[in-house]
Amino acid sequence: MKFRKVFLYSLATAVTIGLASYAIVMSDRAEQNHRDLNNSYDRAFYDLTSYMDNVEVLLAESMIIAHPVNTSITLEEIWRQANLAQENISQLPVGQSVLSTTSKFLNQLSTLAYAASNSVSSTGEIPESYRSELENMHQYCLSLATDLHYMEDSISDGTLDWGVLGQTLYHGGTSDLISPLGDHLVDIPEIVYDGQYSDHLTNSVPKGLKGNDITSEDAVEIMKAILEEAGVETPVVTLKGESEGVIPIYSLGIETADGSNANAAITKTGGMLLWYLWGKESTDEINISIAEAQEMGADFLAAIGFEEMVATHTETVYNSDTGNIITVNYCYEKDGVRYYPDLVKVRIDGTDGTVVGVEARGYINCHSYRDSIEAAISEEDALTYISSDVTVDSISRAVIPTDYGTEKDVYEITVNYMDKTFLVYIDVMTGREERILVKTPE
Amino acid sequence: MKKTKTIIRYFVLGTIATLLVACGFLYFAVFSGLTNDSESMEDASEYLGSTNIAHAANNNITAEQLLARAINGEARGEPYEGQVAVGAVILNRVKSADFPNTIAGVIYQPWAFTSVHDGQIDLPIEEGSTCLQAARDALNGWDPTNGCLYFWNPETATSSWIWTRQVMTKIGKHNFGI
Repeated sequence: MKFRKVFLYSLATAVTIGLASYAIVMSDRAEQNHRDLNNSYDRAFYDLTSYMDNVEVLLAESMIIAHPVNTSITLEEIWRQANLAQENISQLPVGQSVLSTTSKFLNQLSTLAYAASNSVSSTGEIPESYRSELENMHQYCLSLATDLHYMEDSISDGTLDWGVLGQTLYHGGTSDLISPLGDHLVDIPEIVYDGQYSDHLTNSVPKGLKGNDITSEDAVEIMKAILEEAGVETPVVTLKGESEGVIPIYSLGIETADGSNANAAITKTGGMLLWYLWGKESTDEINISIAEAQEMGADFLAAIGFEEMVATHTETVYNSDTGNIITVNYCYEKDGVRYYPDLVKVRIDGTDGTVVGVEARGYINCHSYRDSIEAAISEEDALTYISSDVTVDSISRAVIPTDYGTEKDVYEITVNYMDKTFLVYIDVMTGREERILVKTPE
Repeated sequence: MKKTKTIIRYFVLGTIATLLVACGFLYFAVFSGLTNDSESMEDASEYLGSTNIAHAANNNITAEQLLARAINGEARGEPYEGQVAVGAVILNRVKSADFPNTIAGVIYQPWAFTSVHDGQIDLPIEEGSTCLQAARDALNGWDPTNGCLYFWNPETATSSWIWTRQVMTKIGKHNFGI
């Protein structure tokens, strides 16, 4: 009896001590992980601050450097370091509104510096408009760097807990320390330059929309006709809603004979198919070859209003889970010139050849009448601008998109190097090597 | 008197033995915590069953897998269109100046996605799931959201800030907005 009591007491003590030690170990570990996480946030913050300081100094230097090579190198360094600053700030839990303003500023600064550097390499100097933009950006850089140094004190003395900060901001709270960061950056006027994040891109108007506005009933009828061409049997098409956005659309729901659902969007202007997607269950039985799929897709596109489209790239996926889908990229071709911005993708079921998807945003954004441009450089001359280490397969004319919404007339030269196929694009006016792409096997 | 002594003796012995055991436990727990991380990693992968994850036969494996895992974490029960839409939102963010510029950057942006925060992104993609195909279609340019940058489930959204966004379309359980 007494022994039993003693045993129970001992057991109770053992359990208590055991639990207490477990709790100590776990809280120690949690503390350690928390410290590790805070350390990596601190690291990102310190990197961000030093990149900002560097960018500020480099911007000041770029204004007075006289030699074009040095100017170009300095601008490229701004591009690189501003990009790294953006990467670091986006790893911090600063909340979306702070991130949006600072990230946009850094992205624009880095791509503006890149565009300026490109101009310097072709003309030898920074164009006046870029110079004044960069000077303007320099002032904002100074104030952002000052804000960051102000925050540095709270980070150095360990009072800022990034985890708590993230949680506060996520639940709609504010922080006296972080929330004002980049406040003044919202005053930056719109910047237009030849780069990826130029403000003119957000306001661009789709060029491919032509014709009159249609009603939602028209949209349903147009879709039914498209589905008939696609090989979808007895579909029921219903209007799901409409959306304004950059390309105003009617969105449609489609119920197919097998009871599965597909969706599509028809543009309000001109009643064109913007996209259509059917997640149809497929099998891994392959009855359609790539060449057949390319032809079927081109015929389908011609029947629904996308004429003179040529297959440029095909991706085939055989997957035991999702069946086999052949996705063919098409671009518009006229008089032997391929217009790559006018892109339409078609998904074809490899088992029965049904068209199970169309994506025409590229075409609708870019397709327009273009004057044919007389090349200043002949095909023979263009070939002298490429590396002598490659063997040339073919050369033809093409139009390619730039990152900033314009187009370039180029020669597309297919070359071979070390058993790999590359596409080299040479500007038909300047002979400049615009882009090189590795051609992925189909 | 003798009984009390016996009780005290048992108690002291019992406590000493317990302390020894506890010290041993503490030692091993701390020791393994500091040096043997690989063991806990193995446990995690066993729990998550990562060996079941379907792999794509494509050149763009990293992007496709990561996007498919994010879609699986956020929208595995959603209609196909909703899965592609979640992938499209992630890719729209990559292209936007206001967000990180890489797929991993966007997905792992602190506090950006619930599934990353609570670990659902690491759940295995079930056999027969359409998440991988949805990731592939999103990467190929299909965007059922018409350019949206946010999505949220109005029934479970915990961030109050998300309600300041303008709803552009609804697909399955998600609102999509800019």
